[in-house]
Amino acid sequence: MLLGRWGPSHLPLRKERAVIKRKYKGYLLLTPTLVLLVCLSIIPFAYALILSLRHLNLKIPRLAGQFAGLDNYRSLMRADAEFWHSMGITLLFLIVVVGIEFLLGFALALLLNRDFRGKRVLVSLAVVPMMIAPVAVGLMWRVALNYELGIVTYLIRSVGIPLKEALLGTSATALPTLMVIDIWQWTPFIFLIMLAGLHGLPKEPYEAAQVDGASKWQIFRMLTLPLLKPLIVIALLLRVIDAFKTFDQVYILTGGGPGNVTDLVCMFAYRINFKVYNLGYGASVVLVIFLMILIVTALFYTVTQKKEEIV
Amino acid sequence: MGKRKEIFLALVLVAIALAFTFSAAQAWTPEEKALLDKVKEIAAGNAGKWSLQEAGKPYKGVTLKILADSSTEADVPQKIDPEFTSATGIQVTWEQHSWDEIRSKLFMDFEAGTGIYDLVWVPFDDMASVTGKGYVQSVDKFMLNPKLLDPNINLEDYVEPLWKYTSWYGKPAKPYGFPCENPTMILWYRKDLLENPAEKENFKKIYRYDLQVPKNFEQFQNIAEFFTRKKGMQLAGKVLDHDFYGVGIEGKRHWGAVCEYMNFASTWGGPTWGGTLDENDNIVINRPENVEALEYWISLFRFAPPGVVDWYWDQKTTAFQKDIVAIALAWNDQSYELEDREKSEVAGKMGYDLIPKQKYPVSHFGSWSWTMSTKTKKPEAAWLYLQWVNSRDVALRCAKGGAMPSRKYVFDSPEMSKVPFMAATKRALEFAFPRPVHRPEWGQMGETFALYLTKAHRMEMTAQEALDKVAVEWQKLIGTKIVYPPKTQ
Repeated sequence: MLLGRWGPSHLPLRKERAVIKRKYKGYLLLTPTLVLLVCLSIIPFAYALILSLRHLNLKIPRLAGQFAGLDNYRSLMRADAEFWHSMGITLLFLIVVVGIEFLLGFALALLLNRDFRGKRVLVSLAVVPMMIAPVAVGLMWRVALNYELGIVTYLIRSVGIPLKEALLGTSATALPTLMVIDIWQWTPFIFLIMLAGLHGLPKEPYEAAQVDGASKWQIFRMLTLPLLKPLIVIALLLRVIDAFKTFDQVYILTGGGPGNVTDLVCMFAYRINFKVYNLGYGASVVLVIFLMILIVTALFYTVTQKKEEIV
Repeated sequence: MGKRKEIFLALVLVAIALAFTFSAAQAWTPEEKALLDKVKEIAAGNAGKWSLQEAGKPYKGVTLKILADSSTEADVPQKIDPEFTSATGIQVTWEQHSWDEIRSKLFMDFEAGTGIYDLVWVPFDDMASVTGKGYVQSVDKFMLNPKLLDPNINLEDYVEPLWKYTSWYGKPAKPYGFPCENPTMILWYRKDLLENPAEKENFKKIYRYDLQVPKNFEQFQNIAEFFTRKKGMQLAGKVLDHDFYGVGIEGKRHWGAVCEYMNFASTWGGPTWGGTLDENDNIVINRPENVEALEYWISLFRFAPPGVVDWYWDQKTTAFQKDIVAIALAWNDQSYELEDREKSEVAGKMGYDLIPKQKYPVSHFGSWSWTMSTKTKKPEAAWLYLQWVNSRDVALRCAKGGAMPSRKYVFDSPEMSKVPFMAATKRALEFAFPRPVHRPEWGQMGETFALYLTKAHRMEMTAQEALDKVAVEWQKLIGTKIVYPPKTQ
């Protein structure tokens, strides 16, 4: 009676509330992130999916959003030679730039993974290209590669190499030039991750290996590489996804030309969506690109995981 | 009257009849004419009774938002807008973007139906789309409202094909606005070089005729070849400290290439829709004349700077400013840049004329139209501004500030007659032809066209293959007949 009518029944209620609170606290804390995710990713994704099933072109009145079923996907996969051309050069671009960036970045990290005077300055300078916005990089290189006035063109000529046409203006040199620019900008990214990884490696296994008389190559192959593997996978994965999405430099430097030799797949998607305004077809292009990235990522992950299991 | 006189008179009458037939082909339809006559009648009735101040009173305090191109044509009116605001109490704000950006912005805004913008500049390439989709409204209802019609509207003053192709759409066609940015293509040539006695003498020795402003494309090519010189050679009595080239070309995969080539296709084979479609919208882009014209155009690349494959109009202008090119087909609105002594090494040395004629006299024109959004909440205020900013006097002031005129009154003004390239522009407009902007698919058609033109430049395809490919791709888009069966597909 001391507690009155609230006494005996109140205690279990409190407990229940505490349990409920504990049970749902996690969900409550997750809610803002989930709302953001739903608003910024899930809904646009679902909208793109719906759009891809429609004939919608903002410029052509007769294509006003009629249901198309899988027509857009069918035309894209079966009949759009330009899309497949874009996909082909994107894969080539991706393999070359990520491969070279990885080799150069890793080599640079190994080279600088020791203490010497001016190391900090050197590392800071090395990552500058990565810190510049891709649009600014595009504009900078556009000036530097100008046929009449560009510094790069001048330097190439001054070492005795005759340039008959602008580097970005010929089929033979436009794509390699874009690759060089991408390598220049993103090698520091790999370098930075690898350098951080090398710094964080434990010293004990190395000392043990040295005591056992292992050669430098053996130490690199049997110790450094396996220990850095998780970082290598992440760095390569990020670069693969990023290289697949390359757009800014292409837009600024070549617009996909000359002809369509630098028409990477994101440039193609941009043209369909924002120049031709074929939004239905454009949505199917974007979703196929998304699917491709997903497949590449999954393949990459599976291959590296399998190797890890074997190791 | 003698028999000879009779024959002469008959010939004159036939000529007049033919001329009338030609102009009638471009003239207003009876419905369009009736609308214009009605507007004229209302305007006459308003004379002496109407004022902008009175008409604007109900809309005092309203703010209009305009979406426009980043260009001189948009810069000038903004400076004189305060006069409109002080007369009506209507505020005007502008938002300007580059060509690509504005198109993306306007389509997104129109589709979303936000109604943020009251007045929008629309490239005529997109007019069929925005009118067909109902994004913008026709302005005939405002023209026919005596309360809103300025008696000095002078619609008959517009250069007819320019206004018609730019702003009249639908069936029957209705006016959706007025031209606001309307460049046309003319010939640029280095007058100082073409008139240099030593150059004239050398030219005659080689080509066996006098060096002159090219009247046909054989002469054009000869001049391009003649003036292509290496560093260290002589040009007009001076030793060149850089390579000099005969011709400037827009070779980038860009609208610039499409527009430039259409002049060649049109002068070779006829200017209907720039030599792309016939009167029934059947595809003629791969007609033999166009193939020949493309082969000719590609042949000019040997006399052009190596970087032209990356050029559109801006780079061409810069090349002239830097004194490295002798002749080109170019947009007249860029000519001011050549005459600006602070920016250009060739100011005062340039000549402007009509594009040489192979078979037909031609000049390709581009244009933008003022339009009024369907979603605007202040249509009457927007109309009053539209009418004011396009009035004769404001148009003249804009032209003095660097805008290209679309009114005959402005062309004929003493101030404009002094502008070096205005005479050529006025004459070029007599032969001006548009691209097939009446087709809403034109945006996509143009993209395909640009791609295969550059493939032909790069010798990845022959001219025939490239144009056949364009024809096939266009047929997929618009579904009309290909008049000349592709030879290479």
